[in-house]
Amino acid sequence: MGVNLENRHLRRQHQQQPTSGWSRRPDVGRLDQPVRIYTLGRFSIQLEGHPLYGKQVRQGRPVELLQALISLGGRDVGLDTLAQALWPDTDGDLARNNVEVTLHRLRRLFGVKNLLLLHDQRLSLNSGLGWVDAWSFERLVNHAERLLPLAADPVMVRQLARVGERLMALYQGNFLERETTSTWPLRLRERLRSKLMRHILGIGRVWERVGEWERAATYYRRGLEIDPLTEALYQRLMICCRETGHYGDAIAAYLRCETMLASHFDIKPSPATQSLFCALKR
Amino acid sequence: MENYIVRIYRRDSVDPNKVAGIFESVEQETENTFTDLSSLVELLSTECPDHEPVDE
Repeated sequence: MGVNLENRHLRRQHQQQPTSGWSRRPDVGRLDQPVRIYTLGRFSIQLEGHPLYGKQVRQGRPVELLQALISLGGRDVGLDTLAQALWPDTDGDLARNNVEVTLHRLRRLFGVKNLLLLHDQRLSLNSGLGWVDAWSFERLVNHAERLLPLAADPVMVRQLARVGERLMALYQGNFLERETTSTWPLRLRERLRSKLMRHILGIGRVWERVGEWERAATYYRRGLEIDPLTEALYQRLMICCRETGHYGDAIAAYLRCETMLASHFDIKPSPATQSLFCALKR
Repeated sequence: MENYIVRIYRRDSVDPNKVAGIFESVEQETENTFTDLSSLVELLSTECPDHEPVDE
C-alpha cells in the first residue's frame, strides 16, 4: 500500500526524541529509521515501509532540495550552497528565501520531527531517522575495500561475500541519473560508480583466488552491464570462462570487447587481451 | 561554468599522448570519444561556447 501525500493522517509527527549524535554506521543492522530514501537507479521514498507518491514527490522543489542535500553530503550543508545549487540564476537573498520556504515544505511533506536539522544556517539529514541507499552503499564499499587485503583469511572471504551481495543489491543504477540534469549529483554519482567498478575487479580477483570462477564471472558480467568499455573486465571474464571450460563464452567475451573498442575508439584490444584470446584458440 | 566528464579507458605506457576515452558534456548531454590528447583538446575547444564580447 502506498502513502498518498494527500492523506493528512499519514503525515503524523514522530514523537521520537532527537538523536544525541550521528550514528557512525546507521545502515548496518538497522531498519528502524522511519524514512528510507532510494537514489540508486531510481528515486523513491518510503515512510514507515510505505512508498510516498504524489505530485510533490515526482516533481516538487522540496524533493529537489532533498536530492541536492543528499548529493552535497547530507550533513552541515550551507543554505547558501543549496540556494546556489537549486536557484543558480536567482539573486542571493531571493534564492536563500526560496530555500527556507522549500525546506518548510519538505518538512511538511515528511512530517517527521527532527529529520531535517538546521543549525547555524547549515542543513543536515538526520541519519538516525533517515536512511539513504547511496550512503549505505558508500559505507559498505569502503568497508569492503578494507577487507580485500585480508581476503586470505576464510572468515574474511565469507564476510566479503555477504558485503559484496549487499552492495550489488544496493546498486540498482547510477545515483539520481534519471532525476535531474543538474550538475550537483555528478560528484557523488561518479564517485560511487568508480568505487563500484573498483570493488567488482577487487572482489572478482578474490573469488578467482579461491577457485570460485563462476561467482567471479557473475561480478565481471555485472560490471560490464554498468560499463561495457572496461577492458580489464573482459580479460578477467575470459579467464573465468576458460577455467570453467566455457571456451565459447570466453571467445564471445573477447569478440564483444573487440566490437565495443572498435565501435567506440576504433582501437583493437590490448596485447594482453589479444594474447589471452590467442591462448584460447590453441 | 561548463561541466564535463572525462573517462579514460586506456593509456599508452610508451606514448603519453595516446589516451582513449569518452568525453561527456553535462549540460548538452552529448558524448564523444577521443583516442589521443589532441582530440580531447579539440573536443573541449569545440564544446566551448562562444563568449559574448566584452564591452570596453
